[in-house]
Amino acid sequence: MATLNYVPPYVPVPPSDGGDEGPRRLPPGTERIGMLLLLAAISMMFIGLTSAYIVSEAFGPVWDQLTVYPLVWVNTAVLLFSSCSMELARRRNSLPWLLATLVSGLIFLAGQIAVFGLLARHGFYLSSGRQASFYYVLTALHGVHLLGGIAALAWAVFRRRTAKLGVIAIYWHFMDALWLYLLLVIFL
Amino acid sequence: MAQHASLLHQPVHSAPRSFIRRYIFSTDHKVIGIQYIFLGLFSAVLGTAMSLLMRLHLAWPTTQFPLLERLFPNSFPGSIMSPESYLAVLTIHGTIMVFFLLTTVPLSGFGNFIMPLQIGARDMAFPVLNMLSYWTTFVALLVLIASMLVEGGAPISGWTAYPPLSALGKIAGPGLGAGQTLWIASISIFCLASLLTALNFITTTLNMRAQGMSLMRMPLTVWAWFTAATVALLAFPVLLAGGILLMLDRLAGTSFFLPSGMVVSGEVVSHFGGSPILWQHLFWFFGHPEVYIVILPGMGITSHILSTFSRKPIFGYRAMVIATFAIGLIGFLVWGHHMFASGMSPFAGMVFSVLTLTVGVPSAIKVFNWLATLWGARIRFTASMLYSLGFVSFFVTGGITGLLLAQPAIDVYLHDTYFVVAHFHIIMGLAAVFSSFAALQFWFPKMFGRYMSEALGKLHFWITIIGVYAIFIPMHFLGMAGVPRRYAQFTEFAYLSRLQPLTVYISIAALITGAAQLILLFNIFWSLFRGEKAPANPWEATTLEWTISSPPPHDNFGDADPIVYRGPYEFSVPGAPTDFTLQTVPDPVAASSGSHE
Repeated sequence: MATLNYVPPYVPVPPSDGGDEGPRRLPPGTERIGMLLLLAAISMMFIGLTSAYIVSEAFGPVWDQLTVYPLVWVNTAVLLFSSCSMELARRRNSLPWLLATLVSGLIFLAGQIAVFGLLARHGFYLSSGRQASFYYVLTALHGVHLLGGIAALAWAVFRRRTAKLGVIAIYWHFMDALWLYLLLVIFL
Repeated sequence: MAQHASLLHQPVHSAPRSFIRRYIFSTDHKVIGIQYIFLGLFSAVLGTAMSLLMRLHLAWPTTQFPLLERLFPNSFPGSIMSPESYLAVLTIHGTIMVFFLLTTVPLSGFGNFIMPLQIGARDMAFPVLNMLSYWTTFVALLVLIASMLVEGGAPISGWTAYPPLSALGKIAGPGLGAGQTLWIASISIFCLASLLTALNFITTTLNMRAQGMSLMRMPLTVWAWFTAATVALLAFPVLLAGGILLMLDRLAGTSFFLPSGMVVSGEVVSHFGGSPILWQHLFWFFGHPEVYIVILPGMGITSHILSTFSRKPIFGYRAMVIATFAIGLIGFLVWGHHMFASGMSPFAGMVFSVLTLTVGVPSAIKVFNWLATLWGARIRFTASMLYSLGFVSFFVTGGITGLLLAQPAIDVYLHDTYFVVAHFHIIMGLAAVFSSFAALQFWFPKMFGRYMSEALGKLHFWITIIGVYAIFIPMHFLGMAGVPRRYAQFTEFAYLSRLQPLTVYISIAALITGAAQLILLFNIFWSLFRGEKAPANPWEATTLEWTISSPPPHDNFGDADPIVYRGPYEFSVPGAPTDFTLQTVPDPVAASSGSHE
């Protein structure tokens, strides 16, 4: 060992439980890294879309059509509440709070669809101009991603597992922050 | 050395028993890597066949090919390829080569098989995700093939699918109905698969390394795959976003990419207010990093193989790592150089131009380090070494024309000519393909336990490298003479018709080079079953994959995880008993008393 000058700090890798059979234990933090990378990819997608939205403003006159309905603020409040309840569920390992998060996520989605209905009633459809198009696309894609989070929550509730809530919570808070970002970009 | 002996033990856990779980829906990174490589091989055969069809038509545009009419009655009316079919073949050739060969094989294929072995991991971080990524890629390929089989055939909008052509639907031309829709669907599915693969690669590299495998002890291949995966993770979502918008323009009546007041095929288009340039920005924000997703693994493979067969440490390891990262980073800032001719403010053009030229700096560092590695070495000229030297050659040839194209004043003249075709085929196509040839020849013994034939490999190398230069060097001259890309026929233009002999020359070279690829195919399939049996470390290399049997057992390292004591390229260490020192050897001088195969 004389020539060995440096061995970096090491977190022992638990022995494999075998390739395909049974669950494999991962080094600590692996799922967290995977989640952060997923969020980086999702961020890039929304950065691409919102940059397209921002430069589209310069293309011509079809702009500033949309009004902010009060329902949008109600939805935002529901989503913010869901983030708080998610945090409570994670810290207290509490199933009721988890259920509250799940329900408020669903209420938010229902609210978003209701906003679509309001827009349609005022004559703004997907193809009614770039701003309306972007509004539908951005909110619908956010909704689809939130639906993924809801599926993960439903899995956790169904399995009565509050153990892996860490990564789900990161995702959920990110969806919350993403919504605030989209609100800023769309209505500012 | 205790851990050394234990590496040769039986695997603790056996592979799944059923054929389907073991070879088809396998979560084993080694099986998935091989699946990607064979998917790429299939794509390569398809894509090469298409390029030969195009070359046939370009050289002899009025000659009738009755056999081809019998095979493809819709594409060859009167036994001559129709111009629309030429464009359709061109589109699918580009798409299948860029996405399903060049993106898939060097990164997902070899990366999947080799990277976990080289960092001492037992599998990728998320094996099930890895399997899903492969099968998603497979579905994307099926959807792309389906786009050729629907009414109207494959789209004619090229691999870049520029709107308005790609966004208008059937009225814009043949193949732009269902074919274009399926094309966009295929690419969107591919984006999803690729970014999930990238996520897996990065997580695995960051968190699954063996004890002692510090970042600066990772082989340059691992650095290259890591960087390419990072680029892929950040670039593919943007293309996915663009794909969603383009799909909505086609199917939902939106106008993201369609301007007001267009008249197409005599009809006024009802879309209004969008901009086709927006697609170009979204596409090339992905498209330029994509070039580096393709080429970075090739750089890593080349560094690795050059060092191994020069029997010398790679020159400037740290500089190589920094250059790899620099190329990946600058790659995100240069997409505008694809759009000089689309209309761009001169200031933005200059910024993009200077940033593009900046890529030349880390690239030159790499070439310098490769040459310095070769300098004064006792080189072993194996087939994979030859392929790697071919990579260096293409990287220089294609890189220099890149510097020309990076300058707006020159690019405006050369844009959309054969000069560009020659440039990107050399730097992106051939360089990446040659690095894949090198990697296949080099790691084939590890993958299948048998050597590929060296003699056939060298024969294939010499015919191919002479052949491709015979194809692509004249293409530069065609481009400088003003021959435009994407035209099915040049003989109708007086100023181009005198260049026809050169076109014929290129086509003959292409047919010969294409035929020479049969040598490679034969070599692969013959060696799979009849190749000479290979030992654990046939090339006397140093990295972790060579410490285990060929092919590796299901769980890679048996019952003991490897421990790494040294850097990846310790060749010709003074005082060591052999001219290579495995990364798992604690002390090469002390090791001379024991054995470490």
